[in-house]
Amino acid sequence: MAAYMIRPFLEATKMSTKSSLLIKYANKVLKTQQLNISVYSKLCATPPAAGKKTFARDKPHLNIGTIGHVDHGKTTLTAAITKVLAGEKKADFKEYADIDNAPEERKRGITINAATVEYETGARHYGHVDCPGHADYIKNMITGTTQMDGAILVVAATDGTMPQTREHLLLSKQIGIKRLVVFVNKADAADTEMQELVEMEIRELLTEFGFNGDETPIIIGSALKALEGSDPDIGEEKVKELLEAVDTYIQTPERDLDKPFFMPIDSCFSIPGRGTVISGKVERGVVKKGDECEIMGYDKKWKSTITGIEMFKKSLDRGEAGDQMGALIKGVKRDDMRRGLCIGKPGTMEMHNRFEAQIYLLSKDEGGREKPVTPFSQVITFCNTWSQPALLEIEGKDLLMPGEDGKLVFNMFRKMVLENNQRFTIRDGQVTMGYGVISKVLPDRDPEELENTRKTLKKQRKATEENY
Amino acid sequence: MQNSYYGKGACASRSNFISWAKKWLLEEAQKEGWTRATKLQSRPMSQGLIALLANNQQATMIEVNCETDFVAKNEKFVSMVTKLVEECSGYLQGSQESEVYLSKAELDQIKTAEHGTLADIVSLNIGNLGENMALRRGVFMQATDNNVLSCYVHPSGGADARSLMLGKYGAVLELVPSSLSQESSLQDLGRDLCQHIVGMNPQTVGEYSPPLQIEHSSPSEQHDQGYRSDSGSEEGGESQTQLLLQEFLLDSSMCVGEMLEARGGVGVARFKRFACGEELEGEGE
Repeated sequence: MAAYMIRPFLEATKMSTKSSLLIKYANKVLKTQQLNISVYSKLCATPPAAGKKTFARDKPHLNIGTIGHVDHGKTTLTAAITKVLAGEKKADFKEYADIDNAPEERKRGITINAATVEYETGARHYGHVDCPGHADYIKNMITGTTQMDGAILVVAATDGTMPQTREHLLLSKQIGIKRLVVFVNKADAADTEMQELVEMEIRELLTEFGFNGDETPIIIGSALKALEGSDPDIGEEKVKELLEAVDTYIQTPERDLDKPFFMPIDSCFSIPGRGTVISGKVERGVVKKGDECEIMGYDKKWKSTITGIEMFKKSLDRGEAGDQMGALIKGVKRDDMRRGLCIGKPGTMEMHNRFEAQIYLLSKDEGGREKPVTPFSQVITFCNTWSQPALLEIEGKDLLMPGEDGKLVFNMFRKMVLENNQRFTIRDGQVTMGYGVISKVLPDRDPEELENTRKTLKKQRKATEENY
Repeated sequence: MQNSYYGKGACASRSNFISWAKKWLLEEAQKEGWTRATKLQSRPMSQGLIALLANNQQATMIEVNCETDFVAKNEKFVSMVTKLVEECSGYLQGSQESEVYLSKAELDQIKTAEHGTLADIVSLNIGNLGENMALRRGVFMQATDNNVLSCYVHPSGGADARSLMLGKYGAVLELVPSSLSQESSLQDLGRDLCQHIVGMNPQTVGEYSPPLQIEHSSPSEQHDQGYRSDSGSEEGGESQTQLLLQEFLLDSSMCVGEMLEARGGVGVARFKRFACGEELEGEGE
């Protein structure tokens, strides 16, 4: 079966994730995450089964991150967590310096300043990310390799919230974190009154930013004491308490398997005497023989029924997320089908031609373009198995420079299957310009009107010149 | 009741006390800032803001650094940078020079209108925000003769932000108007060109001669080079660093020199570009 279509976008993902141990792990358990790019290979695609506790991969995997002011002890806390868990043989102890000196990582060609550690608690396995800057978290979100499901906000009891804590919370909102756990650090250096004040301050600020300020767990302790192994009351115990809060308060994302069936079409062909077969990798959900399905893309849609499923030349009754499979579909002509269409459970997919996205433009050093993006320039968008030209609008800026992240609005001439949080690549000729993630699907725009707008803009430019 | 009675009697001394307390607090904060500043001074700074205060005759541009982009976005930092550029501009306004470049050390010594120096303002905020910060460099430009200054900062906060601008990249440009040019269109042209400078990072103004007049060994090739600087770089060729020979950012069908020619021969006298956190020559020590 022609299952191995070259998909440059996905291939690239796979390659660069090899760089980090953690990401490798993430690959195995990616099932549990709300990721839309499948980066794992067939072999690793066994879904995590509930009940077994002996293997790490059986626990749901979550990515969390620490955010907070540079001096408030994020790194110390991370080190302390590994130390406490190492005592229970659930993590390898990482020293402060190991985490602090983490080299720049290159994820899918993007340089990200990130320290990553992994550990597990009784209930879950965690990938723990710590980045120095806003831009790094944004890049992290866009590349999607370690999409954060929750975060620990670290605030020192000695300083309280800093003016930039507002920016930290804004960031959390921006990268889609719904729940936070707060660790008030340096409890050994501040008295109780001070600690209470800081807690009040934090709850107020959380509420202001739309988090649940009253219910968010706030744990007051000292990461340093936990790391030194002294004062277990405010040290080790508090770290354990924090991990428990993370386990219970931060929600496990829905597993891909539990979502409705969705598969981007890789290739299609017809088998004489049987009908049209489409193949691809199942992104989400489960599909069974006889299921109704819908096929969408390039402004069109079809309804059909899956009459057969095949994998490795063997017939199957069901296919599930992660499977590279072929499906025999009823009543659809081979000539209508093409790569880039998507097949899914009826009523669960939507087609659009306009969306807003968070973009990171690769800098020159990262292999990106030298020239900034100007309004209404055209790029090619690669997403799932489709690619489409798109005209770009920049919100609130005149330019987007290489190495910068920002919001762009994409206008395509045809409607394709889109949804929020879907990741994609943008290219210009031979150069990969950057990566993005869809933040908001916008109402459709008439392609004719779009073309006209573009022409008018061009004319306007010419007109100003001719004035001279 | 008790309070108001008490208040009456102690009114005078209390208001005295409050002003004294305020002063004391400020002094403490300043001291605290300096201690923190000394403690943090070795930490690297790669983020920050470029601030530009200008009209079409004079322009002051400074770069202020901090450690994380969280702080660079914070309003306290923004208001500090605003204050710094205003002070700088005030200090330099009387200058007779057409261009003044100020290093970190020179900037730090500038006295503010109230009391203390710019370095004091910075250190006060280091205490407040808890991150290392520094005023890195500044430049002052003054238009000569009939020339006009234009400036642009990216990302710009919209069209209304005319006199004070903050962002990650900044450019100031001095244009030599031609007899034909009207002031308003010159403003637009200047803005577009500054945008181009921010976007394409030219190093020198360079020289542009209309293609037909080039009579060197291989005229067509030479023309080509200047003309297609951008696509040339994608093919692995050296990218064009002369402003006038670069492909115009907003209309890739022509180079900057050509565009200026088409607009009645407006000339470019000079320009300055700051990119926040960029490496500077001789800053190793």
